[in-house]
Amino acid sequence: MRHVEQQPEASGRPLTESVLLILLSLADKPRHGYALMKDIETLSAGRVRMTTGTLYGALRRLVEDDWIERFDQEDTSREKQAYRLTSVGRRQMAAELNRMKQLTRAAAARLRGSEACIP
Amino acid sequence: MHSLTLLYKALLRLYPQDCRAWCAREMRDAFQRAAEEHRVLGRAALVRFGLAELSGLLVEAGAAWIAKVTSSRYMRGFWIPTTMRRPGQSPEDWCPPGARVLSDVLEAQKRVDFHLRHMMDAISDHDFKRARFHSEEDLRARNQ
Repeated sequence: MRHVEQQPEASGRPLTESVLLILLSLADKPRHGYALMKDIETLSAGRVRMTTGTLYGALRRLVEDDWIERFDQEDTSREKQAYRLTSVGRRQMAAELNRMKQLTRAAAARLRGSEACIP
Repeated sequence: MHSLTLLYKALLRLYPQDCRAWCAREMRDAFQRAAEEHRVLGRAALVRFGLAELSGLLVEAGAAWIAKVTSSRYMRGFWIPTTMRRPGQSPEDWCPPGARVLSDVLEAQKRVDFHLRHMMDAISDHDFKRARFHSEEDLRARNQ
């Protein structure tokens, strides 16, 4: 869960887990920083807990790369600034999920094959 | 204010000024809310949380400085932090005329870089349709 410098612009390469979790967390609705931290913890079943430093470092780089955007929230909650996915970010997330699906299918097929070979 | 929050606030000063302007307040708010949550879990949980947060902050501050020194894109995006728009401030209130032109140029340059990068990626993937799209977008960005 470290620095993700350069990762967002590396189109076609696998994303780091932290970047993928941020994108997934923003997939259904915009969130502010603290809500992102909580949702990422939930999404990863408590396995990943991002510190504020790591989270905002990743958010800044994703904003710079136009994968997400920051906007002023209308409501009166404590955090005024929230983040949402851009179309570029959504495409990158979909591409990453497709890559993972392909990998899972290949792994499942390989495992089935190896089980069939066991006498 | 709790001493942990004060320490966190002090360590935020280790970040480059432009980073601080970008997100220090948000980081502090998120930290305070997370700290409140851990405080009710007990002293041990709060200490663990504090150590993780403060060490994470130190590492990320170092990373931000390295990025600032080594990345030209970073420099392009942030080299005049005083022209950054505050949350809620309209663009008209924000930019002096000279800075507006500079900001437009920086924005256009960013778009050109983005499409150029994606065009090269697409060519290396033999995805020529995507490459053509980014090439056209690149041309459009340059002409603006």
